[in-house]
Amino acid sequence: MFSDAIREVRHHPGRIVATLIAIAISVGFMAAVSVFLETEKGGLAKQLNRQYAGADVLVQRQTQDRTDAQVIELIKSKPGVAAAEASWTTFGPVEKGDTTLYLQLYGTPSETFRWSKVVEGAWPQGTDEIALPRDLAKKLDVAVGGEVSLGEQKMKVSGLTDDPPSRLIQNGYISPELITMMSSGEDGKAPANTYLIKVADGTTPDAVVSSLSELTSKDANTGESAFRVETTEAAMQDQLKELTMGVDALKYALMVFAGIALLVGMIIIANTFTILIAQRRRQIGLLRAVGASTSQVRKRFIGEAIVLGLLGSLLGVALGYAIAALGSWVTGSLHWGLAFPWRDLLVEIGVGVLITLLAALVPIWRTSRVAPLEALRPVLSADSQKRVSKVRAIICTVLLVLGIGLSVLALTSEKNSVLMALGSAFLITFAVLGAAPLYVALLIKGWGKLVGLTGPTSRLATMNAARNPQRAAATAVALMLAIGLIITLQVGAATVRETALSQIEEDMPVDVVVGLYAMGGPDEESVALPKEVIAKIDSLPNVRAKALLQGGATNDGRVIVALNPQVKDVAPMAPDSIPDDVALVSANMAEIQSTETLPGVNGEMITLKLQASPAAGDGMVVNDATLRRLVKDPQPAQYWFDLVDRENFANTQRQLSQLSAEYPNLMIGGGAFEAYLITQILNIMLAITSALLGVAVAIALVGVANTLGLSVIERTRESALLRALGMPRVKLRLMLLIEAITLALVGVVVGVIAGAYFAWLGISAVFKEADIDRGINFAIDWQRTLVLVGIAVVAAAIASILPGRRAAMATPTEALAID
Amino acid sequence: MPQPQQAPEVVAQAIDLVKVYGSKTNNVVALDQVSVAFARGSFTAIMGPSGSGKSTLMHCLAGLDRITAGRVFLGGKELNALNDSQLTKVRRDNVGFVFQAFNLLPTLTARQNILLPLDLAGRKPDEGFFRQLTESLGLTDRLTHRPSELSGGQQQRVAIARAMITRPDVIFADEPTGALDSKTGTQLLEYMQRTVRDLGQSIIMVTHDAKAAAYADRALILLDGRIVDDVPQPTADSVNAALARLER
Ligand SMILES: Nc1ncnc2c1ncn2[C@@H]1O[C@H](COP(=O)(O)OP(=O)(O)O)[C@@H](O)[C@H]1O
Ligand SMILES: [Mg+2]
Repeated sequence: MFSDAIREVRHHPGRIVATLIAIAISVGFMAAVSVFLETEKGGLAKQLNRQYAGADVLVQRQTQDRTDAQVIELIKSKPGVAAAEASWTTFGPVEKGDTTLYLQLYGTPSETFRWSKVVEGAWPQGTDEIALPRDLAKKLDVAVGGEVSLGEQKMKVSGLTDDPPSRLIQNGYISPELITMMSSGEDGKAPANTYLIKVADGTTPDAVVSSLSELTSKDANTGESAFRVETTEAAMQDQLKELTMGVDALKYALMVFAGIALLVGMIIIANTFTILIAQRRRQIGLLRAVGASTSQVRKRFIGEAIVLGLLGSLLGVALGYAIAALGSWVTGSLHWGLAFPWRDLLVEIGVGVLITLLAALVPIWRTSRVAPLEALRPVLSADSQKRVSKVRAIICTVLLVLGIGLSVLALTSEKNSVLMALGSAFLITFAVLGAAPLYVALLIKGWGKLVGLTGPTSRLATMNAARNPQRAAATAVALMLAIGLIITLQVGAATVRETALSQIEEDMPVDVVVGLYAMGGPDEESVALPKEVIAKIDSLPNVRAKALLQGGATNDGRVIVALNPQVKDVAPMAPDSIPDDVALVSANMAEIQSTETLPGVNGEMITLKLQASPAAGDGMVVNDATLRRLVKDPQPAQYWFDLVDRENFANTQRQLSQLSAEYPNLMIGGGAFEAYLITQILNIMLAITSALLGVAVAIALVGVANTLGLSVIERTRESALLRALGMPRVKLRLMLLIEAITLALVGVVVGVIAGAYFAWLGISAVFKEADIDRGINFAIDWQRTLVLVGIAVVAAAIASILPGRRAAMATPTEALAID
Repeated sequence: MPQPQQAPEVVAQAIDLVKVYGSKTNNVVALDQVSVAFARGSFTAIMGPSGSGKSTLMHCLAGLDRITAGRVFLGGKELNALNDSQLTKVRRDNVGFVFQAFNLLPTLTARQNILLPLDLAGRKPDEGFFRQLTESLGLTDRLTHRPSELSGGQQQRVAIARAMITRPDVIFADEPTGALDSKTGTQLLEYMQRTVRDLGQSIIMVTHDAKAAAYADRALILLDGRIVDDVPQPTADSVNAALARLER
């Protein structure tokens, strides 16, 4: 069963290469996730292990009831203890120039317990020296003798250590003297939280652990023990368990995306087998004619599917390893060697074989329909103009109607909107994907009418694309699914962003507010904007309108500003004037309280009526007279301004943050800032999910190459005929290119429309269920969508290169040959 | 009044044509120093046993295949001096083909198949000529059909119409009746003969059927890559006799 299969694979590698790639990418994704995460985990664990390499037993302090000297003395008094010492560690920012590294700082351990060597210079002494791993010193651009700062303190680099480079754990070493000073405790000397013990020869760590049982005895009152005593091995195992839980959670999250990639891969594989079997109808007929039973024929193909699945999966594992190696090289964990999570990999290979087999099963089942006569029938063309079944049409229509019905319900019902929207999306997805053979050919033909005007090449191309509706549909469906998912996320993100931004615009019409936080106390000077800040803002580009508001801090430290005519330029809804003893505040604040009593300049209490106004932002705005009663000597206290282009806030933000380095109590607020944050967060989330779904798109595009490649093989004679009739090679290639783009466009267009609808439906349902009573601002991020469409089309064009070459290589004489 | 004797115009010619297939170590000399000329407006049959080089000679004359040595002329152009894109243009504009089978593109209708060479050349079809052609071939009510809906004879007639639509210098036909029953085959041959007589179309046809060769004005006999006989005004008998001579 397998030898035939292997022979087939060896003889026609071109036919299966795309399928192999599809399987390899699907499996490779999973393998990369497993290997990378396991490598990271292993790297972390080994790094931790390394740091306790010299210790056999660890004593961890839980409470502060004994001094270091007492603990050490006690440990050393036990038999079998060769050495013991306290170990300190803390976190600290080490910087030089613009580079800041947050390092895990250790008090240099004594010789016995050291896990790294100084390769240049010496271990740190005194309170102003630090030793750094080589790679970090390089990052900070310092050499031995150079200077870095640790927080406020200047430190001399005393030496470089041989710690392996890592992004996850970055060490630094300072003297035990300094570190105990840094971790302040009683009399400036904090007890260590870990003690390292080296066991003498002939004693087991376990024996030492049990001899230290008095340290772990439980306190009578609290029921807690003051120390935890464990062998290093046991402690590391605990660490590993925790790491594993974290890694596993991440793994499962990523496997959702792998599942989508697998699904798309399955569509491609099923399509390939359908085509391969169609092409081999004569061969199958011949086998049947010479007496092979249908089950024997099927076995051959099942064997091929298994061989293909196995081969693809193994390639996938290799691909996964390559990606994981790259990833862990970036994080530095590669130093510890790549993990070999064989259980995961076995499961993944199994999944690869299984999906190949499952995907191939239906086409293989159909081989029973091939009659022995098939072998004798001259094949005019391989396109099986199968009638698309009425059953399919009916089922898909029913699903679609149900789906639309559920959509309507989701948007009108009082409860369970999200659930219904989800159900609706599933039904419509099934309907749209299932009905693809019904409409894909029509779409292609319609598109063909359009591009066909440009000449025979594009006319032939679109006719070819549409000639086998099942095949075109399967190819397009894979793309629809992948692109549809990305578009759902893109449109969802864009809609959430637009909705949130318009909400912000309503709540906080002022783009940027710059002021000072009141430092507390009756010092009004503290909130007057420094001249440099005002000058800086005046020099900022991208500012449309600005208003400098007089204000100050009240005696209890509240910042109040006064309305002036310029405010209307930045906040058009601001009133022309505010009555005495009224303060404009945010809607939120006005909801909570209707009045606010503040101390006046003359010691009397002044009660202000609070009035909601978006113009107030997060602050309090009064009229001039009221301000003077609350604040002794009003100064320019807040600068409000509106940006020409809010999207470009990042630039403004950068310039303003330079100011905040000089003025630590500088307050930067306003709508643009919040909008910027939301945009940033959504962008990052979208980028990550798009990248993960990109794998599915890649597989779908491999599917386009696959369909074209296989079609070209069965159309060799046609290509040759076209060449004989005078079609130039370039035109043949162009024909394949147009065919590829046609297939891709159909998938992309349907995917974009469906994805956009699902996003709108989903967000509407979420808003409904969350009882958010505001219209959503449906938005399509045209730029991103066009980039995605562009990538798909360009990739499809690239996918046509090899099939196009193959088609163009057909010599005209092949048209005359008769096999 | 009889015309004054005049050397007939040559439409296709091979001079010392050599075609070798295969690698240096293992090669087949398919054509061995063949020199032959074909007159414009003539109908020539190329005959010979299987493997004698008939198809190869036709491919070389038609610019479908590269030659190893010698020279080939077609419609006044020296084919061996042309590059691939020039050859492609020659095939499109100067040559028509009818193959034994698989002549048509399955996605196109009969009409589209016939007009394909003009379409590829970006030329407008001459509707009058198109109607005349399809009427004379009895295809008028089949024009919207696809090849899979046509009989073998109809498919070959579509192929002939396609070969003629560009008014090529030469139509090459490789066993055009090979896949047809004898009645349909006869009709096709009669039509080809009429085309030569009435329209002055030049046709070079490969066949191994003596009865088919009898429709031609001249029969060349090939053996092992050489022209061994040249039978003028062949009949089934004279051709069979010439073939029989090969056996000795
Ligand atoms: N593509 C090819 N490669 C190698 N040898 C070929 C090829 N085409 C034809 N031949 C050889 O050239 C000789 C002539 O072939 P062909 O012209 O097809 O003969 P005919 O058409 O008379 O049967 C034969 O020996 C054949 O095996
Ligand atoms: Mg032949």
